[in-house]
Amino acid sequence: MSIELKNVDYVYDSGEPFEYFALRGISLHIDDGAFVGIVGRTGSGKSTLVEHLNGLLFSARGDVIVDDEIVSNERTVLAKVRRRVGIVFQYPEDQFFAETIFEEVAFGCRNYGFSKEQVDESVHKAMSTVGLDPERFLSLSPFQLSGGEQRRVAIASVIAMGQKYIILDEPTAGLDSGSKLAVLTELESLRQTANVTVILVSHNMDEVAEFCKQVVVLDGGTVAFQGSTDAFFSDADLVDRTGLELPQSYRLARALKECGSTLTVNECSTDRMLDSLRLCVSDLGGA
Amino acid sequence: MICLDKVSYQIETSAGAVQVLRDIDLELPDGSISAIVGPNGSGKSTLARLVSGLLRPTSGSVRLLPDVDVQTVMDVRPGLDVGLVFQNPDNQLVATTVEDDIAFGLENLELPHAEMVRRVGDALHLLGLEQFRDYPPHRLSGGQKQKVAIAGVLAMKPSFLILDEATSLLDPTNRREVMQTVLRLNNELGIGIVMVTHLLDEVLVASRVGVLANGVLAAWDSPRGIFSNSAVVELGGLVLPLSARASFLMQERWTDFPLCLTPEEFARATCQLS
Repeated sequence: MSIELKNVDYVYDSGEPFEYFALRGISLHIDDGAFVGIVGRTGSGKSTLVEHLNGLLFSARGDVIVDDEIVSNERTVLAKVRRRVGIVFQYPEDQFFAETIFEEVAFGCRNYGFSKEQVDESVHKAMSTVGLDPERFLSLSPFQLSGGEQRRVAIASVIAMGQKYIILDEPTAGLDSGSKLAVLTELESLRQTANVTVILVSHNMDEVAEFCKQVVVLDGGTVAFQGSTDAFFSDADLVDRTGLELPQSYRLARALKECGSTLTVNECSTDRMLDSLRLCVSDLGGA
Repeated sequence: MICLDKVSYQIETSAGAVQVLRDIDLELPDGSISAIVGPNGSGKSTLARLVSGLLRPTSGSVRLLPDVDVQTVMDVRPGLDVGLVFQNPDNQLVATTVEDDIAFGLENLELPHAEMVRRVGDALHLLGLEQFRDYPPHRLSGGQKQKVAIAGVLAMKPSFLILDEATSLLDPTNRREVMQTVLRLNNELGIGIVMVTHLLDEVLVASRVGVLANGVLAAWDSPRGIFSNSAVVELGGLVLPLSARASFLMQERWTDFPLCLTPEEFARATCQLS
């Protein structure tokens, strides 16, 4: 089971003077249970791409396949696909409408016909997942919260539906560093415990390096790279060409090499880097 | 200089009064660069609105103290003395062309037409937006839109620019561009900058960083001072930069190893080890 795109094109304003190819010949494969990053500069097609994954947009050419089901605008297919793929949009808090946070988070679950008990349980679990204490928050109005708290409620309202694939479009923009880390860590544990596939659209290369094992890099509506995140960030030229930047840990490894430091570490994510630095230091200590 | 004296702010909710900010004392010198950090809900955006005059404090005062003439102390006039740029440029662009958008604030000032045209031209020039003068703003990229928003604020000739997470939705290239522009405005025009931010790079360019926690100013210090104080780091919802964590690791063996905040600084420090 997986998500697969075969040669997908998408054209805005097709046949009009402003016709614009947002996606061109996109082929990619997202494994079940993966934590995948989708990166690329503004306008590279990231949001257009993810809107294909649950049938909000339909490709002009090529197939989008979710768990062996070719996404089309046929009602039964759409219902099936959307039950599996949830999207947390940019500024999800703009869509708040309910009087209490409980009602807000429960809305999607009720639409899927959850029983009262199931709704209760899902709402509580989802709130804890995003690090908001259900007892304290559920009876408040979502409009009373700070921006970062609203973002987390919005994420909870998608998680609560228990979909198999969760796509998050810039979920951490505007969250403080601590909450950012907390939300991503919880998504990672959701991935491990519930085998949820997490697809993260992000401009923050540090979080991509930390959390995504695989990465899809878009540039001008085409796939510029897909594969292991380590391999992508090790290619500094490609990173630069695609308008992105190196994560701190890769910058550190390069800086050490460039100034000819006696400490050398491989380019990798933060925790592994600190471990290898620790080893390096103890080697030097023994000398 | 913007001077905050015992500023408190509270809002009324159905559950009673909520104290958002409490007794904030703060001095922002002309031409300085400051950052405000803190966890979500700590009152950062409220502080930004108070400093820019969009909100009035429940108690205490926000004053503008001219460097030369202390007699003319006055309240901050929103938009005129302090310009505020928000996170999402889509929420602050209103007109159908870039030029009209930049002129929007000016139109409320009853300026002579020639002066308005001049100011719009200057703002377009400062931000390198001349070629987009007649563009509809919604066809621009996120970074360009944010520059239009900054241009509109600048046309009002404020002495301070407050950026409330103004780059958090931009891609790395656009973010760098907007930041470079802001630093240039500071450098060339002496405009004071206050950045409400969660991003490390932005914290590091500030000379002073204010940490808000639970509505109180928990620290006001240099970036280095902030990151050397683990209690403040935690209170502020900050995460230590990798280079700082690596520095602490080095300090276990070389006790005088400096606290480094960027990878480049760290690499240089390791080269100086004997």
